[in-house]
Amino acid sequence: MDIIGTISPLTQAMDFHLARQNLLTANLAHVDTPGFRARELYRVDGFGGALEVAMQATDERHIAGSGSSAEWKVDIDPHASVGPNGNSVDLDREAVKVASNNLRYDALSTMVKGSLQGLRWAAQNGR
Amino acid sequence: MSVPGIFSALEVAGSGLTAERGRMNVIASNLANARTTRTAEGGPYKRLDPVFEAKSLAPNAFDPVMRNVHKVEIGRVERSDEPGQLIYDPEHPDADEAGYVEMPNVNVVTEMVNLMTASRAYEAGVTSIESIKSMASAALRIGR
Repeated sequence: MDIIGTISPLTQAMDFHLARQNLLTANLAHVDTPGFRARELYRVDGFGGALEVAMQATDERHIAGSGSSAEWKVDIDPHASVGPNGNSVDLDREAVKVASNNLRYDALSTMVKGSLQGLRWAAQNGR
Repeated sequence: MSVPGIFSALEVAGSGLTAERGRMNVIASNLANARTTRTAEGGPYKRLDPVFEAKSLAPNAFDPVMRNVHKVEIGRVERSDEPGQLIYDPEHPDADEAGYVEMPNVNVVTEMVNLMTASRAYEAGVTSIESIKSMASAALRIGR
């Protein structure tokens, strides 16, 4: 368990949330576009993300996480209901998604900052 | 811009604001001309309706997210050809032989509802810009 190895899944997760923010912003912009279907970013099996850090084996008797790189795919949001003009963007639903995505991104960036501070602390001999 | 980032998200949100502001202009024109019976094309004013279109930010990008990020723009402005209300007013200069004047087919209540949805959508765009900005500053705080 090293600090550099801890940061890389966190930055992958940050990339995921930034990409998702792009899609959610586009959804919000298209709230009045006829025929526009809301899109969503999904993690594909094996996506480690921030959870991977907590699941990393720190002892050889532990069961390790799957330990893979970030993979995600874009899809039409199946839970969004389609309105009369073929548009499936729900303003409130998307606004909640934007807010929660933002919060997750902030949490991840705080974790990265904490890891780097730990690295700095170690590099300065605990001073 | 081939990968999704802060600036691509800002561009998309900005295109949404521009489009909604354009729609508000058209609605304002409809409301202002709710009683205009004479136009350059002849006849009463006909209500205009902007139609939004999705335009891919980077259609040839390798990144699947980028290919799915679409800007919004006003594709065309449709003119409604529905007949307007006929009002009996023989003194009116635009009255026909029977004394009826055709009013514009603008429904003020409908236009006000559209104005409110446009305003809400604009506010949502502003909120998403605020959100992107706070994400950018969170990322910038990492280095400090």
